Amino acid sequence: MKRFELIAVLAALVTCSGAAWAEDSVTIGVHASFSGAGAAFAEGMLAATDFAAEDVNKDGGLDVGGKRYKILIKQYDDRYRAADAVTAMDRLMIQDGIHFVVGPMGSAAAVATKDQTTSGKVITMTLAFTPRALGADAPFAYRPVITTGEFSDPQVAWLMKSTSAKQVVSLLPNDETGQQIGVANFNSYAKAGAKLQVEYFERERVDFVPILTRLLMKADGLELGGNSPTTAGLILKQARELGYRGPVFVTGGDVSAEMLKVAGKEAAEGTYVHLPIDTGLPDTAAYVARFKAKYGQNMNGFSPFFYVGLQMLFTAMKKAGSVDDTTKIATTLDGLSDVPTAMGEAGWTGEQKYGIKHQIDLPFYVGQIKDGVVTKVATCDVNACK
Amino acid sequence: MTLPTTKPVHLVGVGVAVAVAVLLPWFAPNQFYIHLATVGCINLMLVLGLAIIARAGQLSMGHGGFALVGGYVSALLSMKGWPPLLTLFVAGLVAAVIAAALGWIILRLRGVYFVLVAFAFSQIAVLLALDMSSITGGANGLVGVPPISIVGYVLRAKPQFYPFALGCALVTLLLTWLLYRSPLGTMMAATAENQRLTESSGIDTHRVQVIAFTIGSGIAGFAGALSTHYLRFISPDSYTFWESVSYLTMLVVGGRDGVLGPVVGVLVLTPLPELLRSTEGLQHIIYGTMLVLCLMFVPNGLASLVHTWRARQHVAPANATRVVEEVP
Repeated sequence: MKRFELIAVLAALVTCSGAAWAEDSVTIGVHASFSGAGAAFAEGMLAATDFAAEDVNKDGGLDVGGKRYKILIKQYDDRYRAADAVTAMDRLMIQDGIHFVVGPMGSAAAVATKDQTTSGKVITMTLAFTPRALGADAPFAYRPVITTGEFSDPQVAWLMKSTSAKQVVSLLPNDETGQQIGVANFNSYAKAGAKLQVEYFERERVDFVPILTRLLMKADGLELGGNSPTTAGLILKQARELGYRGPVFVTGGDVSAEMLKVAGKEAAEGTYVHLPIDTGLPDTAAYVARFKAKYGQNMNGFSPFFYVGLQMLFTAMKKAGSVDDTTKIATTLDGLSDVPTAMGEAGWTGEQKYGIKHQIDLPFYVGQIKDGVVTKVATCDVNACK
Repeated sequence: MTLPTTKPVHLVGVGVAVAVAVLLPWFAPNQFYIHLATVGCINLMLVLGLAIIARAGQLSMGHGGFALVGGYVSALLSMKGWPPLLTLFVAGLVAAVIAAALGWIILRLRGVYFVLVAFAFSQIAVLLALDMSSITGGANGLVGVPPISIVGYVLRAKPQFYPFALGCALVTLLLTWLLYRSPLGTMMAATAENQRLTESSGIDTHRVQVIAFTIGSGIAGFAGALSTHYLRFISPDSYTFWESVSYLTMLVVGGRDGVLGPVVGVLVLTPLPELLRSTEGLQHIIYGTMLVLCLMFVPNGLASLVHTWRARQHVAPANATRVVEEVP
């Protein structure tokens, strides 16, 4: 009998300690495509969450209302499929009872899960570039990354002024991202007084010589923004091999390192690239170094944006004095501005464009490749590049 | 037509399984399980459609394409104000008509050629959905597809949608079972077994295969539409070549004979990715290894284990009787 009592007491203690742990923790879900072509983005999102949690936990947890909460992480793969995205989100929300999600990653996933996250009042931090990811009908959806919608107009205007290109051709994959960027870029070039001819190709294509031969005859500019780093590198290399010497613009993504590897220093010389981050900022440089030290590889450019998003979320939780009232936390998050983060002072914008102020407001940059090194040549915000 | 007879013990087993499925919302720990069960019901319909085509000796790699067509037809019509309950059937019908027209031409091809043409069809369906963006929404797909409503009762939440999905899956299962036991089902099985011999018996095997392809693809169209109204979203990525491969895998792992194979395949392979979802990149390796092991050791599908067990049960008493007889 005594042994039974001892076991019962031990069991009760274990249960109580488990309950105490469960009460004093906040779990952040990571909902992304860990398998397939977008895995690098997903790993970047997970790393950002991991770093944000690590930083909070090493200080004893997130101090909200005089109580300290450990940050835990739960990640699920949506396999880049809309139906799987719904299932993974359901699992995070219902099975795991999570109120905060880093993701969804893809546009289809963001759109497909929008209804469920809105009705479940789950705060999401998406990477989806589609304008439909944000809106007044999705009051809990935030986007901590800067998309084509934000950077296309000011960058293109600056580039057209700097290079005097008038007839630009763009090659894009015939998918959701490609179509999205194609439309945004077409409008931006038109606003800047240039004509953009967009040609779509199937994602698996690697030989661009025929299409480039046809297009480059009458072009004085080549736009590669919206392609994966490898594809951008391939197109650039093949264009240079065909004798194209005009300016090349990569007005989207963080492609420089991989593109240089594929195209080579010579082919990439003079190329203008979009720079999502400024490694000249000490905190950003520290983040890049931390990533490299932990994962042994170069960081995906979107990763620090999610770290910033989480920094803002944690600030909102502290100010709202709650870790579960997502309505209160979202209202507090909406009101945040000039929050000191790893990438400078951040706030929210996008009311005019999306009908809701849930788009991150951070500076971005234009770089130029010179002798294999990317040099910052302009600093931009949503209005202009200087 | 006389209804086929079956053993009472089988009926009890089926009754228990149906009762468990019906009562799931009451004992499921949370709505996530109901979601999984709903996905399972939709998968079951798709795999049964594929099984019907396989029953007639053909392998369709375009199954996802027909589901995509059904999904878009139902989404577009319901977004124009048609009742979703009606558009589900229109979607099935459109998929069936396309399959009949396509099948009449391509089912003259044998083996790998039919597989290739069916695969090409699914790719064309995806590309059309991508390129006809003014109608299909392009790569971004269609958002806000209306939910199904029955006499004003809207099936928006999971516990409301699940009984409808289950009903559809059970009706498909029953009809497939009846089809297999009908003369047409026998002709389909005979065609798969030996097409030349079946043709020599006076059966138009081409017609039999076209009918099987039409029914199977029509079911895929209906299931694709059902899934679209459940998720309330469809995009070209919703049903790619890989979805066709998934349904085929479920059919092969479960077993192609009878209706039990698809049920087992769906029961095993619908929740399996959930167990592996948090393993990130490793899930494909684990999933692949499990499939390879399954195909190595149970090549006729998991459902064949039941047949093997049943056969042993019959052989064991027979052997015992023989031994008793031989003992003086």
